[in-house]
Amino acid sequence: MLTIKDMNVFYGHIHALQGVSIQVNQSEIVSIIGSNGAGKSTLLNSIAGIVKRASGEITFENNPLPTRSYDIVKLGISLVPERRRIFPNLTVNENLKMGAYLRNNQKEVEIDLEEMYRLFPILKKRTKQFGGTLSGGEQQMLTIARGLMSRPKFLMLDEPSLGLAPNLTEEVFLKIEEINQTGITILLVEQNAFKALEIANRAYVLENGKIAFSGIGAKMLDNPKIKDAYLGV
Amino acid sequence: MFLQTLVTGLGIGSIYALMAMGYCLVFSILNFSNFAHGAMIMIGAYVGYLFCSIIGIPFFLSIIITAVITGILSVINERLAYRSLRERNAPSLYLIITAMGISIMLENLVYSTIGSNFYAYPRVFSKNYLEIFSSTIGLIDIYSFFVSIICIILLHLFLNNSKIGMAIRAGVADPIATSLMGANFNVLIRNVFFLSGIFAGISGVFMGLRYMVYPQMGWITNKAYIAAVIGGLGSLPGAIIGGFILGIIETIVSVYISSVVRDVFSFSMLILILLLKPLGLFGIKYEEKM
Ligand SMILES: Nc1ncnc2c1ncn2[C@@H]1O[C@H](COP(=O)(O)OP(=O)(O)OP(=O)(O)O)[C@@H](O)[C@H]1O
Ligand SMILES: [Mg+2]
Repeated sequence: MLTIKDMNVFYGHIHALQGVSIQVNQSEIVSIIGSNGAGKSTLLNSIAGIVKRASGEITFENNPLPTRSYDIVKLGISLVPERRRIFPNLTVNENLKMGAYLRNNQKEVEIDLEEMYRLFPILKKRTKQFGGTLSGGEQQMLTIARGLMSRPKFLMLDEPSLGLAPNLTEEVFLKIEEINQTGITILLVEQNAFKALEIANRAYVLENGKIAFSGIGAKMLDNPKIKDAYLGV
Repeated sequence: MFLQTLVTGLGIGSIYALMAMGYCLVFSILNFSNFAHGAMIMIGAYVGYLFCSIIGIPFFLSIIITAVITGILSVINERLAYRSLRERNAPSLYLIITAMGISIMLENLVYSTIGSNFYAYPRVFSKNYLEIFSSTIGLIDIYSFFVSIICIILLHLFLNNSKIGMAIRAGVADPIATSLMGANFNVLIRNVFFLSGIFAGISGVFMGLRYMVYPQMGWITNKAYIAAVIGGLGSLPGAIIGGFILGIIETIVSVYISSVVRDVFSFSMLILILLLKPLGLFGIKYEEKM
């Protein structure tokens, strides 16, 4: 579904992604793990079009990926960004409607809103509350729901469990699997390497801007090198 | 006497509020003070004079035409002068300096083409004053007050009930997340500049009508900037309330103390408020603006 070939990204002199190639197939969950500053967010942000890439080819459904973020969203790609980034001055309902910004069929949007409130009951009681007044966990649910409101085929999540209590982390991972079961392909970036490998079909390990390993998620859990570096066992 | 002072204050204040809204809209989304706004107000005064006095179109129609023209000019200003800076992530300071440059350029353009003459609007109302409770109330104060209120209400409805309005509010808090939703940030900016230009045109016509039309009149809009800062740059309710407060206090000072100390008073008030509340009366800071 999505193929990246030999991508390079720079921030000034920092060579953040160095010849990265990955592939994500239809209906998979693919995880990317790696330590802080490895370039995970940079990878997702450059797919989403908010970070410019210096070179490299990205194809989505066999076509070259456009570079402007609004054209990318139109193709059915959605990013749930790191650190939530909900709109604090918009209500929960408006935050969700922003997720559906490019959709014009109001009726369908209303139906999806109801669907989000069913999937994330926490949000239902807070439709009129400002995003900034939600708790961290509620905000995380809101960003995921907002990311789904564009009806993506391909959903990218950047550290969805960041700052969440263990039971909420559990819930977020269950939601991700539930979303995947509706046919949405998922590219997941996570600090929680154990969970990320557990739910992934396949995974990549990013180290200092380069892909160091890749393989089947479950098998990587047993790889001694990965155990050592990322699973802390 | 007091009623009259109050109405004059509200009339002047409403124009300050309208001008301050233009500063505020741009500041809230781009984080810089668009000093070209003052020049746009001056151009609005000339364009209004052209339609109303030279061509002879009815006053309120002239306001609408002027608003559209300055709206478009303001969009062109952004497209030509600010966009390339924005796309290179230039610091706000560069934008501010560019805006000042535009302002000086427009002022001199008018100076060199139209000249430095002062023009006065013709009598646009059949009557200039109303007698209420034995006070004489200026009709221009009443009209400017109501026109501003209508603008404020329309802006409120636009920002709160339209999709683009919602995206503009989202963009104020987080431009990158707004782009991630599929909004074209340049389109949002274009809308913001169009609105700000509309307010510049309308307030320019009223300024011209109240005082005179001349190339340096844009500098009066420093007052609007003070109003926006008093209210808290970036806060629309703040800009509106700041405008009214400034208008009323200025009028009271010039009537009861002396019009000579009026401006000294305005600037002192600005300094005092910033000392006590550095973000202005209604300034907000979003956490983690990154
Ligand atoms: N906007 C930026 N300007 C300059 N350097 C940046 C910028 N964003 C990221 N970097 C640098 O690029 C490298 C990769 O950053 P990135 O955010 O992609 O890492 P990450 O793998 O997501 O880390 P984390 O797990 O901490 O989120 C880091 O060295 C970082 O300092
Ligand atoms: Mg990251």
